[in-house]
Amino acid sequence: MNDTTVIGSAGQVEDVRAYVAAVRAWLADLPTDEVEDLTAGMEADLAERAAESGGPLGSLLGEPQAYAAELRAAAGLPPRVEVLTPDAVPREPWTDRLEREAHELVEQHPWLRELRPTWWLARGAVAGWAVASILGTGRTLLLPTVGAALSLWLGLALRRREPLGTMAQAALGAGNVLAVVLLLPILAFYTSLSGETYDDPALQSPGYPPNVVANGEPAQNLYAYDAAGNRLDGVRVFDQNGRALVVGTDGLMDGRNPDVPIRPEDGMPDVALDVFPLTWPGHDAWQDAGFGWTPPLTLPAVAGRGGPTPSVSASASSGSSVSPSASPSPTATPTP
Amino acid sequence: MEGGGPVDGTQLVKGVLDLAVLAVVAREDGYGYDVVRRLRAAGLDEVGDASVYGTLRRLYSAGALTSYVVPSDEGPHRKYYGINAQGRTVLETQGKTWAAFAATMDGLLDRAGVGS
Repeated sequence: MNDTTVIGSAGQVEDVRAYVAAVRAWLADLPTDEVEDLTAGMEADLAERAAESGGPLGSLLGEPQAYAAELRAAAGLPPRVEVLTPDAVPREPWTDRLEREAHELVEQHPWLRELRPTWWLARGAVAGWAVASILGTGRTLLLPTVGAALSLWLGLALRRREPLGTMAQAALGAGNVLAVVLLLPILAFYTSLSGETYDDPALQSPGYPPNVVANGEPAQNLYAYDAAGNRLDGVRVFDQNGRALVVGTDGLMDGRNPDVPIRPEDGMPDVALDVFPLTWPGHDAWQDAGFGWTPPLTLPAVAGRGGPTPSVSASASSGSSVSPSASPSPTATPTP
Repeated sequence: MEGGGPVDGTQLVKGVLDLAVLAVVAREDGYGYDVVRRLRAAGLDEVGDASVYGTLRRLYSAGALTSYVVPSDEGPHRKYYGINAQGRTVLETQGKTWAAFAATMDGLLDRAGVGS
């Protein structure tokens, strides 16, 4: 034997240190002085072993876990025990346990780290959607996009920073949990949105939320006139995708129309929201619906569209004859 | 021996590792890997590094070995083991047991026509 410690390359020294640390970790359930005794001199022994064979210790000696097991078996020590009595160890709060287990999962499967930016985008989109829903803006594309961008920026910024304070960390954790909870219904919402094509408009039931918006506000009613200027009743309107246009229920629910029938099962107005003007028993559909505007009886015919039909002159004459009631309305152009 | 599996060299070495380690250290003090190397040089190829280190530790705990650390300027310290009086007694007793056992086995194998 010789008494000079063989010194390996810097890489080997690093490898030996890591291996010894891993073995010690597998012995960590033993008393500290026992671990010290078992691993004293181990670094020198393994350094010499590595220098002699010139390879990574993992391939020379096997996994540190198996090495530690063999070491303690030969030393007459009990096998590693994972079970700790509740008395010996204070119970770990579930949040800590969750965090530790998540951390371990990422340690064992490093590729999970690659998914983090995707998660940041998703949670930001969820937050944006939640804000859009609360505000009722109907901006289900813009706000989620903004939220995703902000969240990604936040994630990248925090990654380069020092660990957060307890409060900020708790807030971030709560936000993440909320985003996870909300993710599923929101995905369902977008899925239903993209799948919403109607081959037969007649079969489509009026949906909700309202989809007729005028100047940024959900419309509460629609009044249709034909080209000749006559009122049209029972009008149903569809967009280019065959979706029925539906108005909001605020005008029916906010008390200005107390005679609106309410469905007992869901508390919503028992009024077809896709047939215009809206009507219900005991209500004249062409009366002021509580918004301070009464639709005129007739409108002037659209120039050149009424055609040479006698009805134009007839309606015009009838309009002029009845117009005293409607004549105050020219100021009331139907845009609010 | 565990599990009733086939008897291979590894299993046999396990049974006599204490004796083998004591015999090596009795000739000259040695540190862990040095003992491993001398065991292998003697022909016990199948001995595991960790088994030898664990055995050294157990024999020391049982009072059969002494131990001392040799500091090194260039690298980590080395831990040497040496035999003491109690260890020599164990070596002698176990050596006799082994010799008797080996003789018995030889006789058995001779009569079976598997001479060594």
